[in-house]
Amino acid sequence: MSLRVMGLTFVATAVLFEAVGQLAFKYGAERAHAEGSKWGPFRHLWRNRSVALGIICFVAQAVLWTMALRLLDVSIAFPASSLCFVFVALLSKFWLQEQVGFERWIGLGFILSGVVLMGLS
Amino acid sequence: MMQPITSKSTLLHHRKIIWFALAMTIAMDSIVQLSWKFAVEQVPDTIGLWQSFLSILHEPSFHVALFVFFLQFFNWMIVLAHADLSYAQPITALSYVTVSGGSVALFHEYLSPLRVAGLLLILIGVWIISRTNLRTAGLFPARCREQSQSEGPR
Repeated sequence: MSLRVMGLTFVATAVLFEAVGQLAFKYGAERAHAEGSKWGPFRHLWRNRSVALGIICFVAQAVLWTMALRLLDVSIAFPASSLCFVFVALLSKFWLQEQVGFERWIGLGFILSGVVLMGLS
Repeated sequence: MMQPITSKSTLLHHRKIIWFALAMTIAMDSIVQLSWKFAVEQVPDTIGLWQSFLSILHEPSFHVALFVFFLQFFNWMIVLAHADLSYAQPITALSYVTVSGGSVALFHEYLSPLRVAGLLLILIGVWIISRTNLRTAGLFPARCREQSQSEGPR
């Protein structure tokens, strides 16, 4: 496997971990808010398994991203990392049943092309 | 128990909270990135990787980065408790714009025309997403209903 393919595999895995971590954070925040009162999100945060999973995913993502950066130029790794927006949107749509409509996809398209342009420069 | 958003006034209330918290997210993200970079800049290039890691730990700006990063977690929980993930997460792309602006101001980095064009596209994308309905699904009202049904009459 070439270094570039390996680096991109690291990026893809990192991005997947980040998306799953965000999903876990979202789940934990909703849950804490549902159980809590006015200070909702803070009350039961520390015994919230979703939040713990989110933190583990976050650490894994940071490690994988660091390894990816040792193999790849930032000009490739940074645009590739914007895949995270797509993963998060797909997971939100199919797992959380959020309405990711036409407008959100168009907005995401603009953001992705912006990130790619930034990476090219 | 989480209330489903019904009345117009609650929605307005939520919008204010979320927009404030999202603004805080972007501000804190930028502070973390820029102060982290500032800490790295203070360390000379000549020393080894492990040594530079150790000396970054002593930089006050790195402590600022860590502290704000810690606060950011709670702030993000507030955002996620109220808004769709597919709404809030793309909007954090705004921090690419603020961090780039900050890098020009603080580190005199050069913004190429291509980069400015990229930042403009990100701004347009964030603007489009910010116009959508910020909450289209709640995770737990359905769950509460299920529970009350399964408990049944006593």
